[in-house]
Amino acid sequence: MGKRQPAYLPDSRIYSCTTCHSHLLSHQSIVSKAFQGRYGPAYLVSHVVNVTLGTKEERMLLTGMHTVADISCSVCGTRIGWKYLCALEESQKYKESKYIVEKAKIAKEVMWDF
Amino acid sequence: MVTLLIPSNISSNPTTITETPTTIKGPVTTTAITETIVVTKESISPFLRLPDELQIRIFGQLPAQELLKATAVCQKWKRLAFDGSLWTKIDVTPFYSAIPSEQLLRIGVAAGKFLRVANFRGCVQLTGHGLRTLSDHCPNVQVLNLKDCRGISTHSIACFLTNATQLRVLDLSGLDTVKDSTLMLVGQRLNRLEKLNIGWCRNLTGQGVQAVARGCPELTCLKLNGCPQLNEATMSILGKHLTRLSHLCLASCTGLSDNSLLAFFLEQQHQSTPLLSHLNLSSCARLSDASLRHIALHCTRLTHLELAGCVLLTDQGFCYLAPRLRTLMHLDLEDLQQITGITVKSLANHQPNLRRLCLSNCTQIADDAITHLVLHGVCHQLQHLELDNCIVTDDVLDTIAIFLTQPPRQQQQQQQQQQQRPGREGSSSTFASSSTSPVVPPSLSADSTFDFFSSSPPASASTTTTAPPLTPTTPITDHTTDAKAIPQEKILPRKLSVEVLDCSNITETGVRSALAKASPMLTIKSFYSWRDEELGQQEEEEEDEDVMSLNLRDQPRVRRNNMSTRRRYNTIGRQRRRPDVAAGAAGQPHAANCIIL
Repeated sequence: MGKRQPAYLPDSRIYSCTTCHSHLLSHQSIVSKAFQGRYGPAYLVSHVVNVTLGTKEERMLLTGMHTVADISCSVCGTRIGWKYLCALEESQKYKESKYIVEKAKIAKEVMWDF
Repeated sequence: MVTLLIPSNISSNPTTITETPTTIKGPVTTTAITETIVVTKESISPFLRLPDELQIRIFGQLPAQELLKATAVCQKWKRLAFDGSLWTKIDVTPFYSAIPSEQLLRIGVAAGKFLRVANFRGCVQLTGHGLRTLSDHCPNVQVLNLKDCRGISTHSIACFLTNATQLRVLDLSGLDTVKDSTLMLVGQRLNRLEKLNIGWCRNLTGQGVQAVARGCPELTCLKLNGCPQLNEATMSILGKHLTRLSHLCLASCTGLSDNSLLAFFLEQQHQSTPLLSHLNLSSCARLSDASLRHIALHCTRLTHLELAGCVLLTDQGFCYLAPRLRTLMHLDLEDLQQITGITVKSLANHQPNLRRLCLSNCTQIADDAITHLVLHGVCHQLQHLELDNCIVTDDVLDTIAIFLTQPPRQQQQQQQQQQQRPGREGSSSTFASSSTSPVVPPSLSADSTFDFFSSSPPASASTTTTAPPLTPTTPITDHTTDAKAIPQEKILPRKLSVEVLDCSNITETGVRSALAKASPMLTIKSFYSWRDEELGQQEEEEEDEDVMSLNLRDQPRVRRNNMSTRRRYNTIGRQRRRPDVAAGAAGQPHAANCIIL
C-alpha cells in the first residue's frame, strides 16, 4: 500500500530495525538473549512495535511442535523473526505470545535527548 | 446552508453580532426557518462576549487535537483557533498517524511567522509541496524535526532550509533524500545550528559532513549514526571547527578507524577545555585499544561512553582508560568478549561516578570481579548492572544482597577496611590471585612494556603502574581520605538493579534467596523473575520483584525446577541455549516446516 507510519517508543534504550531504523522493541521487554533463530543469535521479547504478522504455521522445532507466525518490519518488510502462538508441550508454554527477534536484524540505540 | 436573520435593533454589542453570522450547515427543517430567532443580549454566550484576545487565551489552554475540533464549530471559532499565537509549537506526536496532510498544512500556514517548534516526526503524509508551502510562510522556525517524513524531496528540504535561517535544532534522520547538496545548504545558511541529527542518511558523503562542520560552529550535538564515509580528513575537519561539541554519536560507522578518531581529538586539543561529554561508538567494529588510549588522553569530561559491539577492545585499553578518565557515569560494554575481570576491577578502583555499567555478553566476567565492583570499589553510585550471559553464580548475588542489607555506615567501613589492607584488593595483586579469568595478561606491567602505552599516567592515580611491591599507603590514599572526609553525613542506603538474563550458573533459588534478603534495595531481572511475573498475572510491569507467593500449582514449580537443573548442566563453553534449532534428525514427519540451519 502506501507509505506506512512508524510507531515510536518512549524509552531511552531501544532496538531498531537495521534496514529502516524504525523502532522495534525497548530494552525492558527483552526476556532472554540466549535464543537461536534462523540466522544466528536471537532475543526472546515480550512486546514489539512496527511489525506485521504473517500466516501462522505449524513448525517442528527442536523443543517440539509449535504454532508460529513470522513477523516482519511493517515499514521496510524485512523478516525479523517469528511469534510463538501456541506450544504443544507444557514446558514450552512460557513462550506463547512472545516474539523471537534476530539479533542480526536489530541495532541498539540509545536516545540521549532527541 | 441557512443563515439565521438577527434583528439589528437588538444587543449592546453590535460589532460582535454582525461579525458572527451563525450558520447552520446541512439540511434544516422548515419549522426552524419560519421561526424568528430573537437574539438578545442575554442569549449571546458569555464566551463570545469576551474580547477576542481573552478568547484566544482560553483556546490556548486546549490541547492541539481539541483545538482542531474547535475549528469546526463556527467561523469565529475557526478564526480564533487558527490564530498564529496559539501555534508557536506544532507537535504531532499524539496524532501524526491520523492527521491528513492538508490539515497539517493549514495549521502550519496559520501559524505563519509565529511557528517556532515544528515536530513532524513520522508524518509520512507530508509532501514536498506541503513543505515548500510551509517554507514560504514560516521563516522563524527554530526547531524542526522531519524524521521519517519520507514523502518530501531534496528540493523541498532545500527550499525550507534556505528560508529558515533561525534554525537551532534540526532532525533529518532516516531520509534518503538528504544529500550533500542539502548539507552544503545547511553549512551556508544555518549558522546558528546547535543540534543536528543526520543519522542513517545513506546518501551522504564526507563532503557534506565537512560543509556542515565548516558552516555551523555552534553545534553542540551531532548525530552521524551510520554515516558511511567518515575518513581521517572528515574527522579532522569536524574536530577543528566544532569546538563546542558535547554530544557525538557515531554509532555503526563501520568505516571509522583509530586514526580518524585520533585526528578528531588532535584537532580538538587546540581548545582549552574539550567539552565532549557523550560519545557513542557502538558497533564501530574497527576500533581497537588505541582508540581507548586516545579517548583517555583527550576527553577529560566524558560521562557517557557507548562501546557496545567494538569487539577488538581488550583489557589493556580499559586498564589504561580507567585511571585517567574518572568522570564516567554510563558505560556500555556489551558484546566485548575479550574483557575479563581485570577491566571491571580497574573500573571499580577508579570510577567514583559510575552509575550504569553494562557487561552483557562479556563471557569472561566472573564472581570476583563483580564482588570487587560492588563491595570494595569506589563506585558508590552504581545503580544498574547488566550481567547477561556472564559466568557469575548465585554466590555473587548472595554477597551483594548481604552487603546491601547492612546499614550504610557498616558498608562504608567495610570498604575502608578493604582499601587499607596492604594492596590486597588493589588491582595489582588480583592478577596473581585471580584464578577465574582465563586470560591474565600482565597488565601491571602492560603500561610499561608495551611501547604504545608508554606515556606515564597522571601522578595522582598511580595504582596500576606502581612497582610490584606496593606500599600500603600509596595506592588509594586519596580514596581513604575522601571516605574520612564525610564523617557524620547521612549516607543513603544503596540501591542496585542487576540484570542476569541467560547466566547459566544462576539458578532460580539463588535469585529468590537474594531477593528475599535484600529487596527492595536490590532488584534482579532474570529469566525467573520474568516468569514469576507471567504466572502472577503480571500485576505490575516494573522489575521490582518480591518473594513469590506460594500459591502456585505444583506443575509449574516442577517445570521450573527442571529448567533450572537443566541450566545448571550447561557448561561455560556452551553459552547459548539452542531450543529452536532443528537437529535435522531422521524421522521428522514435516520436513517442510523444520528450520534447518
